[in-house]
Amino acid sequence: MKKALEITLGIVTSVGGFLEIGSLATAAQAGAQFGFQLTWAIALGTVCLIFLVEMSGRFSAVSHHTVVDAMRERFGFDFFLIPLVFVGLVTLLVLIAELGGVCLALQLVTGLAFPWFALPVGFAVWLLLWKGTFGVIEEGVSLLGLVTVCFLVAVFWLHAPLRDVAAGLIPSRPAHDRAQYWFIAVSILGASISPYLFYFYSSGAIEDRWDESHLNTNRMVATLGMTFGGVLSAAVLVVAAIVFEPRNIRIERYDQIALILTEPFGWWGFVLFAISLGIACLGAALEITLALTYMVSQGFGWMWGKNARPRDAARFTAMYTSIVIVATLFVLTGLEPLKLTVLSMALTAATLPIAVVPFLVLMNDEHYVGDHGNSWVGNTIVLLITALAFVLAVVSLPLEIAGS
Amino acid sequence: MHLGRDILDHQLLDRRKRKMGRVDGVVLELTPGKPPRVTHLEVGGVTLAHRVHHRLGQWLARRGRRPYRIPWGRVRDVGIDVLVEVDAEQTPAYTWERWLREKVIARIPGS
Amino acid sequence: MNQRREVNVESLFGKRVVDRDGRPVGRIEEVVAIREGTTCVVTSYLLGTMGLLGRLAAWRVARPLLYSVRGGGRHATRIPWEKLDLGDPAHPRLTCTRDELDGSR
Repeated sequence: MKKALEITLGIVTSVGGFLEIGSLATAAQAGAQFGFQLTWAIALGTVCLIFLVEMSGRFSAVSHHTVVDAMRERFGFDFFLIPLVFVGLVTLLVLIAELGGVCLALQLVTGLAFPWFALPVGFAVWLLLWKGTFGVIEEGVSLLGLVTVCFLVAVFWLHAPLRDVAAGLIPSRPAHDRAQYWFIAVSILGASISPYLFYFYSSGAIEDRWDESHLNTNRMVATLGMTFGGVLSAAVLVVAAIVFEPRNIRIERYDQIALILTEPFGWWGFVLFAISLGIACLGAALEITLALTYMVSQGFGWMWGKNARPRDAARFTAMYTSIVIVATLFVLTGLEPLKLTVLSMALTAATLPIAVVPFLVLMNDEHYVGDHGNSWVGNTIVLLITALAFVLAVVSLPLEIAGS
Repeated sequence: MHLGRDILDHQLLDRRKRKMGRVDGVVLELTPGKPPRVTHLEVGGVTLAHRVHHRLGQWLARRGRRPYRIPWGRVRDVGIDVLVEVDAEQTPAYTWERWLREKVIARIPGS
Repeated sequence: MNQRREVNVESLFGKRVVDRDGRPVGRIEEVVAIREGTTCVVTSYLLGTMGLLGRLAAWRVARPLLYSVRGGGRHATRIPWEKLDLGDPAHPRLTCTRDELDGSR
C-alpha cells in the first residue's frame, strides 16, 4: 500500500515538473504554426526523458550516489567543470524563464507588467525553499499543478480530430518556414529532455533512501509520470493547433497564448490558463533552483538537502539564495520572456550531449551500477535522440538567430 | 588501491559522518631510493584552481592562499566515501560554512 | 642534502612518460598504492598507450571518457615504482629502456 502511495505521489510530483513554461511555449508555437505536424517531437522527447529519468533513479538506488557525485568521482574535477558550467548556465536561463512565467501569470490576472512581480515572486520561491518542509510544498504544488489537466479536457471539448493528431506522430516536411519548423522541433526536444530533471530526480532518490527494492517503483514513476507530462504537452499543441492555426495567428507574445483556452472555456479558460502557467512555473522554479544547488553542492562535497535546516547546510543555503537573487534580477530587467524561453530550450538541446554522454558512461560502469547497467536498447535510444537534438540545435540555432 | 579511482574526488566525511568537501588533491612525498609515500589529502579551492590550470593555482598561492591538508594518518576508511578522524567544525574545510552560518544565516529568522 | 620533495598525484595523471632513451612509453593513467598500517605507499604506475587514443588523451577533457572506451586499463602497462624517475614531475622518465619493460606488459 505504501509503495502504491509512493508511486502515485511520484507520478504527481513528476507531472508538476514537466509541464512548465518551456513545454507550454514551444507546444503552443508548434501548434499555432504547424498544426499537428510537430507531435512527433513531443513524443520523441518524452520517450528519451522516460529512459533518462528511469536510468537516473536506477543509478542512485543501486550505487547510492547521485549522478553529480559520480560524475565528479569518476571523471575528475577538471572534466566535471564542463558540464557544471555549461549545463549550469543554460539551466539558469531556464530558471529565469520560469520565474518570468510566474510573473506573467500574475500579469495576466492583474494587468500589471510582469517585472513588477519579479521581487515578490523571487522572494516567495526563496521563502518556500528556506522553510524547507519540502515534502508538503512539493506535493502541494504538484497537486495544484494538476490544474494543467484542463488542456487535456480542452482537447476533447474541442473534438480534436485524433486521427490527424496521430498522423503528426510521424515526422513530415513542413509546407512553409522550414527553418522555423526545425527550430521549434529542437526547442521542443530541449523542453522535454531537460538535464535538471534527471539530476533532480537522482538527488530525490538518494534523499528518499532508495535501494534495489525501489527499482520497480522507479520504473513506474518514470514511465507513467513522464508519459502523463508528455500527453499534457501534446494537449497544449493540439489545442493551439485548433484555436490558432486556422486563424493564422503567429505566437509572438504570451498574452496571445493566454487566449488558448478561451475558445473552449470562455472567460474561465483565461483564468485556467493563468493559474496553470503560474503554478506549473512555480513548481519548475523550485525544482530547477534545487537542481542547480545540488549540482554545485554535490560537486564540491558540501552538506546538501532540501529538508536540511539552513544553519546545518550554510553553503547549500547560500547557494540557492544567490541563484534565486541572480535569476530574479534578470527577470527584473524585463527580458522578453517568450523569446528567452524558446531560446533557452534550444540551448538545452545543444548542450544535451555534455549532460547525457558522461551519464550514459556511468550507467554502463559496473563499479557503480553492478548488474543493473543499461541494456543496449536504452543506450541506443538515448544516444540517438541526444545526437538528433544536438545536430538539429547546431544547425537551426544560428539560422534562427540570423533570421530574427 | 588506485589513488585516482578510489580516493581522488571522493566525498570526505568527518568523524561525525558530516560531509566536509571532497578530496581535491593527494600529496606524495618523494624520497630518492624509497617508494613515494602518501602524506596528505588536500582540500580547497587552491588545489582545485591548480588542477584547472597551474597558473591559476600559482596566482592564488602568491596571495598566500594555502590548501587545507589532512595527514594520511587521520584517514579511517576508504570506501564509497573517505572517512577522516577530524571534526569538520574545527577545520579550514568549514571556514566558509561557519562564516556564512554566523554572519548571514543566523541573522535571518527561521534558520 | 635532504632531497625530499612533494608532488600532487593529480598532476601526474596524463603526463607523458619516456624511457631512458627518450622514447615514448605511455601516459600515466593511475597510481597504485598499498596501505601498510598507518602509512600508504605507492607500488606501481599504470600507463596507457601512446596510439591514437593516447594522443586524444593529451586532450585533458577527453581522457576520462576514453578510460571507459578502453575498458578501464586493459592495455595498461604496469611500471613498478622504482622504475619511474619523478625528479622532474612534469616529465617523468623510466630508469630503464622501453624494451626492458616488456616482461611487465
